[in-house]
Amino acid sequence: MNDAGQSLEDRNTAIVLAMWEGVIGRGDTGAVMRYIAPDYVQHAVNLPSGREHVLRLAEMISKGNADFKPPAHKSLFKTIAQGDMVAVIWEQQQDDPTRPGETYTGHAFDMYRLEDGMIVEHWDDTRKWPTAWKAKGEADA
Amino acid sequence: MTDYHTALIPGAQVPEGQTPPMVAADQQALLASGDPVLAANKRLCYDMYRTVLQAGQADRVRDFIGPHYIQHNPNVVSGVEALEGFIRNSRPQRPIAPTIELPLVAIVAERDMVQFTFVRKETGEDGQPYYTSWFDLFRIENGRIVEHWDPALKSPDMLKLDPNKKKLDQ
Repeated sequence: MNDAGQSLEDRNTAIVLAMWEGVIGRGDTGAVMRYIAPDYVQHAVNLPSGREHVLRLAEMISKGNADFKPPAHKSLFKTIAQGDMVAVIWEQQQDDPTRPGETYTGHAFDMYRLEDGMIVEHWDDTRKWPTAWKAKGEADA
Repeated sequence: MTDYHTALIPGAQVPEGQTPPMVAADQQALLASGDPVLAANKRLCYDMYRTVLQAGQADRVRDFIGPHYIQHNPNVVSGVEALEGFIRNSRPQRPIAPTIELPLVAIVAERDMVQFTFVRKETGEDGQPYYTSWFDLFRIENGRIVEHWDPALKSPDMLKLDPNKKKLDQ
């Protein structure tokens, strides 16, 4: 418990959700600096490690970009926190390959490790995309 | 509670500039919790994983899974009988190993939920291997697993997939 009577788990969960809302929701570079550690370790396969790549992502989200497709709408399903870890589970409507025109509810997962109130590591279930994200006017890697 | 801390070590070597997959240094440490209910829930899911999913022992399913099991993986129907059939049809029976042999990252528990995170090796369109993550989320009620979620998408291939073939050295 901290001075406000909040458990470590509740505090870490609030940090992760505020980061998501700021960085992914609004493309807020201030939220990147506030919540993500400089030597951030990234296990999501379409981004390298390092906070600078999350900053670039936030800029793409805020400015809009022809090459960046924001993820399909996700709604928060559950959070599970223990010690230094926070898992976030989302519901997401997916096209049904067996019933054209229909959708079903799928689930997407993120997990974050925190140290001293900063996010230091991230995992998710994404697959590798054929081409990496790039900013407007940027050459292919 | 500050009793849980994840100690991670690299699970495979990757080319310079890429992020290596990390696995838990000690699976027993992942089972810890200062809350005896959370510790028991973790142990239930860990033992189910070793016995049913890993060792393929379909006749042990009901020791771990509640009768009204709800399955959210879109390729598998709900119910304990369906799970028994899925296990029988998708993998051979093996001896029960003392630990989980897939590359386990973390086991996180809160309230009535337990979540497992694994490193998952995939192959890109360029034919090169890469490492992403797989998650299993379980809800526990009265000492049995009653609900399961994972990130699976609807796919006919999934019905025949034995996840034990997803080890890092294969």
